[in-house]
Amino acid sequence: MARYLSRPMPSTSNTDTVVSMGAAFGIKEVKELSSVMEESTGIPYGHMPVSFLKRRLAYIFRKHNIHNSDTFKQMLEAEDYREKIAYDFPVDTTEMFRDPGFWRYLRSQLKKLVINGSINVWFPEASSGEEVFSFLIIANELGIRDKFNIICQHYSAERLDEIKRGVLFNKNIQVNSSNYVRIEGSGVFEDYYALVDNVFILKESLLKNVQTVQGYFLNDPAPEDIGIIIFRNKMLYYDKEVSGICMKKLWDSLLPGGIIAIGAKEQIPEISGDKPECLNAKEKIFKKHGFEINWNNE
Amino acid sequence: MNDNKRYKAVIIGGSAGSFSVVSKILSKLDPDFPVPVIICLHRLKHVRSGLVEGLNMKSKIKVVEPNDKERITGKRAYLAPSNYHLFIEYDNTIHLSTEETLNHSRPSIDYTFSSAAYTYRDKVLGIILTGANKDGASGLKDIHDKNGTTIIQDPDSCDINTMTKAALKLFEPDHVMTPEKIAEYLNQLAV
Repeated sequence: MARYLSRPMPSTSNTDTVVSMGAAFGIKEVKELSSVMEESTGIPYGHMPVSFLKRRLAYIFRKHNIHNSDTFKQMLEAEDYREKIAYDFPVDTTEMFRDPGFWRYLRSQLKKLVINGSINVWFPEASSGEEVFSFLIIANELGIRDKFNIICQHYSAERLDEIKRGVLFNKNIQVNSSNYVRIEGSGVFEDYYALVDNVFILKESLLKNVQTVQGYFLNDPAPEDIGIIIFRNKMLYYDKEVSGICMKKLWDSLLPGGIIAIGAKEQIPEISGDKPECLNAKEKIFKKHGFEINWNNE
Repeated sequence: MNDNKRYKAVIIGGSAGSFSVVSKILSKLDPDFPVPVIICLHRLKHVRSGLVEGLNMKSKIKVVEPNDKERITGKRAYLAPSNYHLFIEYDNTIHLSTEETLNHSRPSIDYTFSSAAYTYRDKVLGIILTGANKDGASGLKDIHDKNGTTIIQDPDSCDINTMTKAALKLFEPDHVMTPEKIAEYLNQLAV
């Protein structure tokens, strides 16, 4: 249980030579390692920024006490070790209600939704729960929580388990609380979680209709009938080619009238055919033309 | 030293009190300053607008908050967005990241300086300004170690000199200068 309190910080070293562990990552080695990781997991590590790979590999090597690349490559052959990498490699979402302006805008749009039945909301690369929990809280405060089926996908079973259990990282709790004040929520943030065995856990009632799907979204079939996709700050860690592939897959899975949100400083890759309608340029929210999702203002 | 057209980028880092210093430097730059200027300042993460607009009021070159994967070009200044780290990738593009804070900071000046050091090596000029913590000192040393040029704002001219003194403890910079002298020095690169 204590691991949630003490997840080590990623490497603070950004050097070619990671002195603390006696290993050196040249560009060639990083490319080789990322290629092996990609081959053994199906996740496009080879299409991630080199400087990012260096930092994350340094972190993984240090955390797992690995001293050379050959050992790492051997360890990757074991499934349970690949799961450890799947857990440790991705970047956590920084905080709940990151970019409060985004959440205020999304809330204003959700208010306008006309919902017959329910709407599927997909978090395709949910490395931690902050975005999901933020959505659940604003939907709850609008009184429409039951109208959404939440689909969280990730390739790490352990990360999905944390989301399913509503784990909030203790170190972010103050920031989460401050952000909640900035979105001008109608409740009291502290009422949404409890301290259980020294870990902050989201209220169980918020977590109903949250489905977790283990797998990598680019390799698996997309869930059907998606009305809303939250994919913020995920393409930062892919090159342009894979970012384009991500966007095509997500866009194709959206119902007409559905929306997708990307990070405020990400650029939407070109989508052939249907041109996205920009709902909010600052918060990078885009809408697919059509009316299967009815936003009431059309 | 003939620095003309030698540099691929100028990197400026600062914290408390640095806005006015950066503004002063940018206001004195030659409008045709050919080298990209990349600026990493500690800033409030929930305030996403205002800083770039403020810098543009006086700057002689255009200041932008880049998007991820944006290509770095001359006659332009790039300000690290709030709540994102800014790295320089090997293909001369900006890479933004939401990774953990470093030195309690995101953006972290150490990260920006270090990535510039490893991308541009001796073809980068790093400048550290006034600030209240040590973030940036180690990254500027990386630039120094890769034979880039380093300037530290004269601690006597700083509002708070913790950052500059931290850098001075780590290595001997090429120059210690007042903001006015830094602007003059940069303009020599535009000749």
